[in-house]
Amino acid sequence: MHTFLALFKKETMEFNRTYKFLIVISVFMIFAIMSPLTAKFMPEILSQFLPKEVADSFPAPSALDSWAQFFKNFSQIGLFVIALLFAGTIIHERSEGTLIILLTKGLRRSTVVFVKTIFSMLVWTVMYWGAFGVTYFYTWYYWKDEHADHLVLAVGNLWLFGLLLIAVILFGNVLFKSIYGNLLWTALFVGVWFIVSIFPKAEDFNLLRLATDGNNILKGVNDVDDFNWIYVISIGLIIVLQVLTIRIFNKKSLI
Amino acid sequence: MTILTLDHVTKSFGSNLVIDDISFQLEEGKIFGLLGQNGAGKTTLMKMILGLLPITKGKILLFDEEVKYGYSPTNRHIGYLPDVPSYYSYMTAYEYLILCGEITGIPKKTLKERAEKYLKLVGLEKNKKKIQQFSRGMKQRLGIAQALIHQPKLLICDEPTSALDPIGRKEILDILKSIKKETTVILSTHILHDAEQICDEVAMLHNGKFVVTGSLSEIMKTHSKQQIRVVFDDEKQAQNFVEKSEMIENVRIQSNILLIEATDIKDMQKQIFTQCTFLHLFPSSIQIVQPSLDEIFLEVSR
Repeated sequence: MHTFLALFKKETMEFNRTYKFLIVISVFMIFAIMSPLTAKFMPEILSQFLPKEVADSFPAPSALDSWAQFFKNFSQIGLFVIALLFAGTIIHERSEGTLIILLTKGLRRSTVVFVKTIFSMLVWTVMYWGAFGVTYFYTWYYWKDEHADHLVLAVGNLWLFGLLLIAVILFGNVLFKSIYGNLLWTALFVGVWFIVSIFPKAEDFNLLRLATDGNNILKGVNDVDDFNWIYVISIGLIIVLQVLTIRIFNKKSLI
Repeated sequence: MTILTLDHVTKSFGSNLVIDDISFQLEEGKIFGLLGQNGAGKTTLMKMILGLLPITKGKILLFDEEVKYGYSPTNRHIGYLPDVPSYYSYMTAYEYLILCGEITGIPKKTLKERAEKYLKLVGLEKNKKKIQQFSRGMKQRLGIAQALIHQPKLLICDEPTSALDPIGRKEILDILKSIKKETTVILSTHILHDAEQICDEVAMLHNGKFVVTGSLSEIMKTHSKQQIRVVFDDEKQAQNFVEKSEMIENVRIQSNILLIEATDIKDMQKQIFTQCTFLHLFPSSIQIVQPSLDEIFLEVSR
């Protein structure tokens, strides 16, 4: 346990002193605030550039528009920022040799992987749900009378997809020697699920729906039962990827 | 007491044999010099002792406990200073020592005292800079402090002085000398002068084998042919002496200086005096010269 805590403290210090906390807080908070703001004021902004008849034809913005912006921002740029921040978390340590001394002091490689996974997932969880809280507040402020059904389910699905993506990125960290290789691997993983989404029969197993079906859930098109298999596969995949990451890292030469 | 045992240790990378069936025992309380050219396999051997590289054949024991690849519990007895230590550059030296201590499981209160003690030992106690601002010498000194933080029985230093200036080298060697009582040291180096200064025992690694092992004095006795250095006033006299002294073999001329190798040094001295008297030559000096470790190394690695 003492090695876990020591390494976790080190990860926190590193994230703070290399300004990664600042980056992730800034990006996530900007999106959290911008999502309801964009939904609220976009019709007004567009009316400045478009003919009055066209502008008047826009429906009045609603709380659903705010959450649509939220899902769009966090399923794309939000996750991309997370991928960028963690794509080199083990690759850097391997290329710079910073783990050698710690490993000779009794640090297990499995602890390294485990701590980095927990830390990355915790950063995503805290930042994401924090951003959700900010968006929730502003959405409530602008549309006090409106209520979005199944909001936690929709937001929770994207959170789970984030956890899955982090497991994929951590796996890529032990597979590849360069961050670009890992980013390509992560993009390939997402790309495969895009291809799967072409086939309607695979709908019940398409993990990408965790990130793309948020609006449908809010509109009542999908409910929690539609995602049962997807939850099972996602959680199973996170566990399998974690085990494989540790196994492969145990065999990797660090010198 | 034997601290380290190498039992028929072999290491190859594919078809490249780097360590060839080495067996060896190291006793406690010594500074042991692991000598060899660059690429001789010194680092490979040390990384096998640390469980950072798998052993192809044989086994390594530390206090009778076998070293395992991957995660080796024997590392609790070892401190390791790599040739180019890599640290977390955003930390201070103190923070780094605390991290190392926490990983080894040193209790909080003891750890703070120990971190201060070893920072003082290596002269970094007042340094509040981030490691990224450290010079090479400071990084090596921090390397020694981190290697000693858990008070290991064995300290392994991989070429700790190779990239340092003379002052930095002396500082490191002085620190190593000062910890000898508590910690056995394995010092890998290709700078034989450093080994001559502080090592009690050395082993020369060449073509994957220890070609020479033992204390420096033993090695000097066993592997070196002593030389007599005869200095004449000019080159002509030196040449004249060589031409007319057929019984003297193994002689090298360097301008007006002769270097004569001998197995029986007394007998050779007598012959030189006799010959000089006979030829009416009067050398300005006749001196017995001890060969350096460099010369022995060159000799055995030929």
